[in-house]
Amino acid sequence: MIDTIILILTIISVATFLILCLIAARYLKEPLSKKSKNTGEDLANMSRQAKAEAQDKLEKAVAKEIIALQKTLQAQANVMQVGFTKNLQDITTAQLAEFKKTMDLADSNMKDQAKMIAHQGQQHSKQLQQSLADETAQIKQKVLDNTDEQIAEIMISYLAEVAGDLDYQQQKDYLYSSIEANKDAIKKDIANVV
Amino acid sequence: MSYRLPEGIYNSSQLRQLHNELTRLRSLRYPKNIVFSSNLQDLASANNIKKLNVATVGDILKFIDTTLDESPELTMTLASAPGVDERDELIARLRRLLHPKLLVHFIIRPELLAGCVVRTKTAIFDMSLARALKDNQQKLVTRLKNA
Repeated sequence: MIDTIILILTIISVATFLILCLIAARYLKEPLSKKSKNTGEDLANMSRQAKAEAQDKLEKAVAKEIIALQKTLQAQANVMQVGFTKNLQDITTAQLAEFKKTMDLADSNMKDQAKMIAHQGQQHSKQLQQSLADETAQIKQKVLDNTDEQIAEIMISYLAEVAGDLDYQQQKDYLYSSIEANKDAIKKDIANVV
Repeated sequence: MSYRLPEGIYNSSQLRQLHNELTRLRSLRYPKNIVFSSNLQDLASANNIKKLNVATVGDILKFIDTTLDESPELTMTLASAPGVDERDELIARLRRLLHPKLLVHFIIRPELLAGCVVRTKTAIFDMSLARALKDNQQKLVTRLKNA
């Protein structure tokens, strides 16, 4: 950006120089036209001499003006550079501050979210543990209940396996006593049918 | 005439076989060289029948028909199969306790453990050890938990 400004200033100075040249040319042309009414070599010489002097003065003046202008431009460029630098620093500082603020806010939000997630995780973990414990207790109770319900079947199958070779003679007393105990009921039922 | 039903003849199938045998004997006009079945021999022996002729066969057939019509029949499920003598003893005991012409159909189911299940036409009498264990299940559970 600074380079662009220097370029613009340079163009302005060149333009100023050209304008001054035009003014000088007009200034020189007018006296010569007055002197042209005189006759003789002296006049011509005087004219050339005056022209040369004027041109010399003009060149010196232009050179002086150019130097002054360059100094002014340099000073202005320096001032502008300082200004730009300061502005740039201010902008950068402000942006950095804004960025830092945004980052701090984002960091704070992330920490809050992390805390919340951790808290939720703990709560969820507790719930899962409780649920698991409840379910385990229910399954355990169910197994116990099933075992209680099936204990007779288990015992029967166990006894059938262990005492599978019990022959008729070994259980005859039990058979007879059970028939004896139920004879009246069976007899009554048979009598009803007959 | 009423006959005694020997213990070896204890179910309706045997009686029907006897009936068929006697009918066949009658249709063949009582040949002399025919061999009788063990059940017919038992029946004749138990009732002191010396000779099978028109009269005795006719009486036996009537007895069989009456028995099939009137005798109660039950199904007895046992945990193990009795021998022949044990079965005869059981039949004798049942006929003495329940009915003199009782017919029994036997089934063997070891899972009963001991005892029997008697099934009549209208009721079931479960006198098995397995049933006793099931009926006393709660006591068993309590004892196991206290053990």
